[in-house]
Amino acid sequence: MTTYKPNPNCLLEDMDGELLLYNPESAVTLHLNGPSMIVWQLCDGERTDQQIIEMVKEAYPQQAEQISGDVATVLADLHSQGALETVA
Amino acid sequence: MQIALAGLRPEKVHRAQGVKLTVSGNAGEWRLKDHSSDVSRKLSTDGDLIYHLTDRIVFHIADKAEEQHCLHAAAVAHDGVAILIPANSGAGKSSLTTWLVANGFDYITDELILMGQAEQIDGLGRPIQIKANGIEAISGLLREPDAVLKGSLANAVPISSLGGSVASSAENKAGMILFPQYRLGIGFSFEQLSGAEAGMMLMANHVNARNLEGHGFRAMMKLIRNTPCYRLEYGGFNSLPENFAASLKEKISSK
Repeated sequence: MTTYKPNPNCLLEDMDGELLLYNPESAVTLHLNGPSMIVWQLCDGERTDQQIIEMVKEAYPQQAEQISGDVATVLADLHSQGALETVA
Repeated sequence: MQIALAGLRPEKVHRAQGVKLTVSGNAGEWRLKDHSSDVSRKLSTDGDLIYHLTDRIVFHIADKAEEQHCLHAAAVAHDGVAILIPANSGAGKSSLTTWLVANGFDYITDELILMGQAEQIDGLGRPIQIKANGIEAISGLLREPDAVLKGSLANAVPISSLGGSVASSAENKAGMILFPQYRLGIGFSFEQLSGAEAGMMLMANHVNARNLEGHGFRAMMKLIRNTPCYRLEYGGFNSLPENFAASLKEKISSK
C-alpha cells in the first residue's frame, strides 16, 4: 500500500469547479476534473491508495469493478507528473 | 531596416539590454550577427533579414524579461481593447492576424505579447511574418502587394500594405483570448472555453515563466477569469462568417 500527499511546491487554482495544477519544477500544467479531481482531493498524506479506492467505490458502486484500475492509473499519472509525493 | 523596426518601441528592445545584434552588408548580401552567441548568418533577401533579425529580438526579450509576462501570441486591438491570440507555430496565428488587421483591427504583434502587472497589453510590432508558402492565402488581403518583402523562409508583410494601422497605445486592455486552429478544409466553429481549458492552453504559450514569481501561473489564471476565452477553428478566410470581424469588435466593446 502507498500513501500519497500533494507536492507542496505545486500551485493550485479552482477554475469554476475544475482544478488547474501547475508544477513549477516541470513547468507542466495539469487539468483535474471528474475522477482525477476526486482522487487528488483524497490524497491527504494519511489515506492509503487502497483506502482511496474503497472510498471511490462507495461513492460510485455501479462502477466498482473498474474503479481499482482507474484510481491506480490516476495516482500513477499524478505521481509521475510530480503532482503527488509518496509518504514514507 | 526601417520597415523591420518601425513597430518596435525602443523601450522593448532596451529590455534585452546586454545583447548586441549587428546588421551589415547591402541588399542581397546581408550579414546578421548575434554577438551573444557569436553566430553570424548570411542572408540574401530582405524578407529573410527581417525574419531572422526580429526573431533574435523576440528571443532575447522573452529570455530576459523579468517584470512582464511574455506570451507566444499575436494581438490586435479595437478602440484600445485587445484580442490575444496565443498559439503554437502552424496554428494560423499570423494569417488570422493579417485578416483581422485587413478588417479594421489595429495591429499589436504577430508573435510576442508583453503583459504588465496591471494586465495592460502590448507586443513586439514587427512586420507580420507569413511563411513562404502562405503568401498566396493572404494575397487577397493586400492593398499593396509590392510592399511585401519576400524571403525563402518567411515574407514580411508591412501593416501599411494591408491598409491597416498599428495600435497607438502600449496599454491596451485585454478583451478576449482567442485560440485559433487552422486546418485546410474544415468548417468554421467558435466556442467559448472553460477557464480550465483556457488555462492549460495559455500556460503552454507563456514563454518566460521561469523568470517570474510563481512562474506567472496566478497572474495568468486571473487574466482568464477576467477575460472571455474562445476556440476558433477555421479552414480558410472563406470559411469565416461575413460579419465575423464586426461581431468580434462588438464582443470586446463592452470591456
